[in-house]
Order: sequence, then structure tokens, then C-alpha cells
Amino acid sequence: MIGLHRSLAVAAMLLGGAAAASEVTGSAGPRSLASDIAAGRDWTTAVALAERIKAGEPMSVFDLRTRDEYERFHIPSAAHATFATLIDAPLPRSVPIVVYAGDSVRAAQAWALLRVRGYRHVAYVREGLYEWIARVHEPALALDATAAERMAFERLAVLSRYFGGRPRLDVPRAEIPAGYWTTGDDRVRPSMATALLVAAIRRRGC
Amino acid sequence: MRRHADPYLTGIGIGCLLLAAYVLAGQGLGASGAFASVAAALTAAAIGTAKAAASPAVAPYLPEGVTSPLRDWLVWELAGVAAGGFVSAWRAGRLTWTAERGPRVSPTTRTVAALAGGAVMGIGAKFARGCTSGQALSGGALLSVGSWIFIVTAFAAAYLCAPLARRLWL
Amino acid sequence: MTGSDSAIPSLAIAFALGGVFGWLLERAGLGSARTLVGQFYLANLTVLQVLFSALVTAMLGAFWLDRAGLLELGTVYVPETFAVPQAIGGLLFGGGLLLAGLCPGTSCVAAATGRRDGLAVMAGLVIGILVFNSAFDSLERVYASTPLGTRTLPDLLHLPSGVVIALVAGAAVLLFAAAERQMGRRQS
Repeated sequence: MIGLHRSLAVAAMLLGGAAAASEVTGSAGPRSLASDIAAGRDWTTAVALAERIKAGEPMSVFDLRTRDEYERFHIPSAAHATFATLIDAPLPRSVPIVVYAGDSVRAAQAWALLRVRGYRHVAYVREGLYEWIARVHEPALALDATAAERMAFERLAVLSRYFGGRPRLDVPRAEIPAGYWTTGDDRVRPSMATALLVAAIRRRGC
Repeated sequence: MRRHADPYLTGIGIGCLLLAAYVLAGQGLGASGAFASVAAALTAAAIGTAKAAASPAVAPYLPEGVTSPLRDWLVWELAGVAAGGFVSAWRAGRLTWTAERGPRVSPTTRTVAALAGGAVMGIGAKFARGCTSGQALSGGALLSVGSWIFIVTAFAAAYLCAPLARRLWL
Repeated sequence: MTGSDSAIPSLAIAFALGGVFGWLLERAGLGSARTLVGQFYLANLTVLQVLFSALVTAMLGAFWLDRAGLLELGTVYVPETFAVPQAIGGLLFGGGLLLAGLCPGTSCVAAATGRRDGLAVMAGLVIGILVFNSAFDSLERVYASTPLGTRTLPDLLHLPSGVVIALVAGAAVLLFAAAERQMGRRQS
């Protein structure tokens, strides 16, 4: 038994030592970041985020836009942050971090920055605040919606009302971009549909 | 009667089980919460669900008007613990019908001590939001500060109280 | 931590996990109050060895499973920290454990294997919780004090988790070695 115990002790120390060593480079190295990006672990959708907030999951959400824009409207439970904050702030390591901005570039940069700092559970909202507005704050249902779309809308409407949003019924089909419903909250690559949606909302000047 | 298993190997087995729990259920193991559910159900049975749910201590264990502890994850887990313990003892020939106690005390004293100790543990587990299974083991493995505070204080208190209870056990 | 999920698979999983837990606890001898208490009179080291090797195994396993992408550590429930009440709770729990000889989980194992004292501990636990509940109004302030949220040792020490894990694993191994040496000296 002594031999077995000694082997187990050595194994424990090796695994522990390897864990410590991996922190120095591993999770924060280019290979790890690249693998996360390839696997799509770096981003999340506004609807997925909304459901996690509603479920009361502990996490830190950060808004990377200007203070002014933040004060006018931000995702409920989000705090304001700037790059300078993200470089230095001692954020809790065991709580997932989600960042978003007006678009994906800033947010993705912040993701990379936090990952390089060693935080392992970071994600950014792909299309930023506008995705939240389009899908959570004001989900839209067309006049001639199909049954499937109505069911999906019901789910979104519940979510939307939880956050004090305004689901929009009876929207002319022309205003809803093709693919709005098919690119729901599945983790698919954003399509032209989402891009058009985002552009439309930006024009409205939300 | 078969010999007991090596404690380190058993511990590693429990550790792997804990990992299975994290993966399959998104949470670790627990125990005291199940007793809290039973207490809540008894309270609801005694004074009515509405009055029970009005108490902030009891309410979390009476979700959506369900007063039956049978719906509780932890209660099912503890039922499993009992079943698993039974099977293990049965196969090893360690089933017995006895009341374990130190050689110098009477069964009555032992029962009183068990009840009193259980009560104090119950109060402690409420303050600590868990017990050895939920906090020390599951929370400790996840490096939660509160869990480690619990580990240190619980072990310290047990070692400090040991000399006072010598008559009970030795 | 309660979860009143009525989905059968979830409760079945709970039962299965509990089953293996109880089986392992009994195999280690922790279904016996005299064995368990023996730890605190340095008659045996079972509690220390089982608990800390389980803790270290799960700790190392969780870290590496997360690294391998098999477990999303961010989604596993980490108990929140309430510094003062948990310290008080720990002190009470430790004292109560010495009196009772069994903890909540092991009391079920004891009761299921025919030990009447296990039943008494279980009854005591329910009584204690009822007492706590009825006194909650006066206890609430302490109960809810010093909330630190989800806080882990890496957060507290400003160290990466891997480093803290290495330290804990190393400390546990040293603790085992020292404890065994102590036992060896006492018995010879």
C-alpha cells in the first residue's frame, strides 16, 4: 500500500504543478485563444445572455461604450467599463465575464485582452447592444408569421417583458430581415440577416 | 466481515463521484439541505403552507407551493446515500442492529448526545449554508472561500471539543 | 442548496450519485460514529484521509476537465461566501459533530446499516433546523452578514487558480505525510 500511496502523492503533486505551470502560459497563450475562437467559445448571443441573467446566474457583464451611451441605455445588470479598467481591474476569476459594445470589434478586443490577462470564462456579445435591442428589448413578430415563428416569439416575449422590453407585434414582413427567425439563438455564424438588422437599428439611432 | 477499504482510494473515488456530479448535475453533493427540506415540510404540515412560506427561513425550501420533500434533489441524493450504504454493509457483512457508543456511557446518554449534537450541527449547517458534504467537500474542491472557512473552523472546533467529550467516546 | 426539479432524470441522477457516495462512505468505515470520532482523538485518520483526498481529486479533476473542454467550470454552482456566519456555523458544526459522532451524510449511512445512533442524529438535525427557523428573526442579521458573493481562494490571494491548486495539493500531501508520521510515533 505504501508504494501505491507514494505514487498517488507524486501524481497529485505533478498534476498540481502542471496546473500551476499551465497558468503561466497555457490559458493565456495564442494557441489557447485561437482554439477558443475556432470553437466559437469566444462569443455568445444576446438571447443566451438574457436567459442567463434571468436565471440569476452569477456573472459580470461589462458595457464598453462611452459613459454617456451607457447611461442612456444598457443591458440590465451590466456595469460600465473601459479598456483601462479591464487592463488592471482585479475581477473575480471564478465568475464568467461577458462584455459587449456597440459592435463586435471593441468587444472582441476586450475578450482577447481579458483572456491574455488569464481569465478563462470570458465571452462577448457578437453584435453588441443592438443585438440585445433587436432580440430582447424589442423582439418583432410579423403580421403573417408562421406557427413556428409565433412559438419562438412567445419565448422571446416572456424574456423581453422580464427585462422591461417592448415586444412588437404585427410588424410588416418587409421590416423583418430574412433569416431573423432562422438565425435565432443557435450558435450559428451571424448571417447577412443579422448584419442588416444591426444596420437598420443603427439607422433608427437607438 | 470484510475489511474496510483504503481511505485514500475511497477518497479518490468520492472525488471522481464529485466530478461526475459537476458534469451531470452542475452542482456538487450535499446533505444538510435535505434535512432542511424535511423540516420545512414538517413546518408546513403543522402550521399550513401559507404561514410556513411567510417565514423567510422556511420559504426557500417550499418552492411553488410544493410541500413534499420528494421533489428535492438533495432528498433523493440522501435516499441514495442510505441505499448505497446499506448495500455496501450488506455485502461486507457489516449490517448490524446496535447503537454505537463509547464504553463508559449508557445508551440513553448516547442518544441524548446524538440528538443534542445533531441539533447543534443542524444550526451550524444553517449558518454555514451546508455541511461536510456540501461545503467542505464540494465547495472546498471549488476553492470557495466560505467553504474553506467552514473546513478550518469545523475541524478546529472538533479538536478543541474532543478533550471535553472524552467520557463520551473513550 | 435545493433543487426541486421534478424531472425524473435529474432526481434519478441524484439518487445514483448518492448511492455511490453512501457505498464509498460505508466502505471507508465512516458509517460508524466511533471510527469517525476517532479522528479527533487521533485513534485513526480516516476522516482526514477520505475528505482531503476527495477534495484534492475533485479539485484537480475539475481544473483539468475544464482545460480539456469536458466541463464548463463557469457553469458549476460555487457556494457563495458569508464570512462571519460560515465561521460561526463551522464552529457550531464541529462541536456538534463531536457530540453526535456523525455528520448529516454519514448519519444516513449509519442509520441505513442498522445503527440507531444514526437515526438519533438525523432526528437531532431536523430539530436543530426547526429551532433555527423559529429563531430566525433574531438570527437573521448575523446569518446574512458579511456577504462576499462568489469568492474563491484565487480571487482572495490574487493568484491564478492553477497556482492555488498546486499549493492546496502540495499542502494536502504534506498533511497526510505528517499525520501518518504522528500516528506511527503514537503506535510504536
